[in-house]
Amino acid sequence: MSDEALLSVRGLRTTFRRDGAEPLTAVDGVSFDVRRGQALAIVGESGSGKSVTMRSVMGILPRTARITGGQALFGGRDLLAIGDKELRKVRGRDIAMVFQSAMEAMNPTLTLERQLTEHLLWHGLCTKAEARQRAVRALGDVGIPDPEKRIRTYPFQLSGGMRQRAMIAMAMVTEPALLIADEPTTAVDVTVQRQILDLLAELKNRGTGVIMITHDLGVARYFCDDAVVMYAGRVVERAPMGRLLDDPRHPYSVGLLGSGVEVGGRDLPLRPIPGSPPDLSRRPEGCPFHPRCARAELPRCATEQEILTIGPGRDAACWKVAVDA
Amino acid sequence: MPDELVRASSVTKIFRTRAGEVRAVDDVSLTVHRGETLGLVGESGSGKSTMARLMMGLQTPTSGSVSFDGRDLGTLPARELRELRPRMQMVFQNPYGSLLPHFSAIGNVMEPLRLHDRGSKESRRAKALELLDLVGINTGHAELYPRQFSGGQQQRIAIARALALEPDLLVCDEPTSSLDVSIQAQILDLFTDLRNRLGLSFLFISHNLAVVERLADRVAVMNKGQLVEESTTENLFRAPQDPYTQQLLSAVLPIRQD
Repeated sequence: MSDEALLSVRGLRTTFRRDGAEPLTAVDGVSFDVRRGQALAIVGESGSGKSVTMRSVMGILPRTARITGGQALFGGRDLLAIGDKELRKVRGRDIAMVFQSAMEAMNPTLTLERQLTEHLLWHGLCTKAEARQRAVRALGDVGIPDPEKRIRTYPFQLSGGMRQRAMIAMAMVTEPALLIADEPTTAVDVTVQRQILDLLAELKNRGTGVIMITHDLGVARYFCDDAVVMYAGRVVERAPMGRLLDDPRHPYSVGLLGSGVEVGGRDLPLRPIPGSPPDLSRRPEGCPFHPRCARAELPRCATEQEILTIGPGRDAACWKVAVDA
Repeated sequence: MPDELVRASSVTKIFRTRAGEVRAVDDVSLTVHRGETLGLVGESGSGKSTMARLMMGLQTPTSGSVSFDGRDLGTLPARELRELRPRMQMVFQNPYGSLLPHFSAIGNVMEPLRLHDRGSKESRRAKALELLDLVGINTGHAELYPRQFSGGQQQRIAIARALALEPDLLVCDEPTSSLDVSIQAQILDLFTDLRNRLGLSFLFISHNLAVVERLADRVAVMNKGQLVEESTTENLFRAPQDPYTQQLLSAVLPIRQD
């Protein structure tokens, strides 16, 4: 574990209770580090466990979920062990979140002022007058014109792009050490996307560490420094961002890159991964990707999977890749 | 012109809302030729979905006209319009929302055949099985219900249903936007395959430029209800003329750096 890590997650395991069946393991032994002023991309398809991982760290899981193992060290404390009361002091102050849909993440019945000052006041960080000033400044910082006036409006009175900015302002206002952004640009138009990413980059420049959950590899490349790739609840590859995209190693990462379409890539053949991700209640033994993997070698791939170092700053959960390296 | 399958001539669609009039589509002319894939791109609110509904005759334009195979959809008697309907079909963004949840996969695919009184029950079954196989659904799963399939498989079933009446035109409105990348690639391959095998014409709507570049022969760009540029795919991506198209293309974030 490096000293510079802002958040260090080790062996996180989260299960969901089900009626009349074994609990479902949604996150299975996930580990990663986030550094100050750096962005980590968590890349994966739906059902890969990206969001459950972050919700576990933040303590905002649904009631049927249970964390059954692991640590999440943040400022010398294990977020998974400190309990809800302590976690509430961290959440919204030291760790903030930005979601895919500001319409759903914001309270439609409260003005921006109420929502932007809420964290500051609840955590007792400043007086009401100061909170208002800081909220206005945050709205201005994210490029909302006439913030003095806009702070009195409700979320629905803003356009989609402006609402996304307001949500970022809400996350920024307490100057958090860590920002978790769950698909922050998926619901906005491409021409707005880069503006949103540039705003988040501003935060990164001020030293905030960012975890960005995304399925958009172009967004990940533009914004993130490092990446972990998740599949069926596990980390399958960990690498510096550019290295992952230019030279993916785990067969799933290779498949993901081969499936991605890109402008200018019209003549490149598509190489879709056959089949679909497993139903978590029937996760294949060993490496969960092996039934779809062209390189799978039985019986070994169907019995074991461990994360192996394959190069500087690079790990892959595939023994065959480790042999290549 | 026999080469033209659908033609929209200077169509405008105005919606009246409490906040006033919204000019969703503003004097747009578009043509899909036989066997061609026309890509329609634009951001949310650009009017591309309204344009699709106008070209399908699902909504009537405030002014202007749409003709399908030389016949004006606006003046056609209802009975004749009904005869044209099977020849144009739609595939939507959300496959689960577009399938009948209480019908099995094969039931969904058979339904349009039943509604249009095509063949006997046995021949409809046989045809539906053939279509499910064509789109890559294991026919052993034909009796399962939509919710028992993954999103990608649901979209395949929706495509099989859209093909049941052997349409000339398939209008696809963001058909891969709710799918994961690895599944999106499979569906894109399926569209290419169907076009080659069945000679279908496509109106393919997407905000995803890479997807449109891959499938379309020609591309039309809409912004705020207006058509700002229309060109062959190659020209549009190589040398976009309109400032808005240029802005759209320059906003794309590359994945690979070569």
